[in-house]
Amino acid sequence: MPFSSVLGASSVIKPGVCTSTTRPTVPYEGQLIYETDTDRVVAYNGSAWVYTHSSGLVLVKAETAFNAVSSVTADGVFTSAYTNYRIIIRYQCSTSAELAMKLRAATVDTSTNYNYQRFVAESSSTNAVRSTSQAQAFIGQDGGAFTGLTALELSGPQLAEPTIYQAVNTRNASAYTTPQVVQYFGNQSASTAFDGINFLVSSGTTSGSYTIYGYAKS
Amino acid sequence: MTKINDNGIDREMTTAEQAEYAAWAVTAQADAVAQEEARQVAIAAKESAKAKLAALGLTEAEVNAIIGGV
Repeated sequence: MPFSSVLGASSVIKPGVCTSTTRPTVPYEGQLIYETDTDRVVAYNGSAWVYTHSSGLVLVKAETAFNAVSSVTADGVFTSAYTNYRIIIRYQCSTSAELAMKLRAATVDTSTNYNYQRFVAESSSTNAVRSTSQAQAFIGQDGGAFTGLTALELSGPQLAEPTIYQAVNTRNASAYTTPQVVQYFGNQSASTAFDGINFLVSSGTTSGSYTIYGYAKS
Repeated sequence: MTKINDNGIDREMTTAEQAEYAAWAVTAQADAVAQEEARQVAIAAKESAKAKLAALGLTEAEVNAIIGGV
């Protein structure tokens, strides 16, 4: 039986478990540690500590289900750990509705300064519309009877700078045989640091799930 | 009562949340309608232009080539 499991989480000795500021001071090549503040495994390569998974998406908020709601909030998800985020939203609305987002700071929605360009492609038709100084950023549409998908990318929400976003939405309008592309490219132009997000539907309710990832910086 | 998923928990909105959401939804629906109307105007204009170009003798492929259609 591993020594550290004798007393479980209460064990006084937890080999290889530390924080990013309390790493071993005399490490050896190949040594592995787990940092409890970054939730990452770090290896010593003989000259420096390196993250064993140093690139790609990192799970920030595990898949979270919502059922027959009009608003979905996720707070404390944007931190200095990442600059760029990807959010996957799988949803179906109770009626034809717009899916919108509002960025949040300390659990309070921000309802100003959203600007975006929308691009729609349906069958052989394409169309574009620009909206400025809005109370929300639209990030999707749903026809009400078929599951849709929005992949949302945010750049710098946690920075005291404008937040840039793009969203790609697959809308299955009147049937799964009539998919439409709805894309949004825009920003929240205030130099405000946000730590959360609110997804809202313009009418009715929505059910589905969302997952939030951060893009590793290195 | 309108429901919210509050950081992973489905619950009823408070009275204040409900009021804020209802006010926003009215504005959002108006914004969505305005955007859709603008989109329909643009679609109608494109269809009108295509018809006029076709009347001048352009083929459908030629019309689509110059207006960005498929």
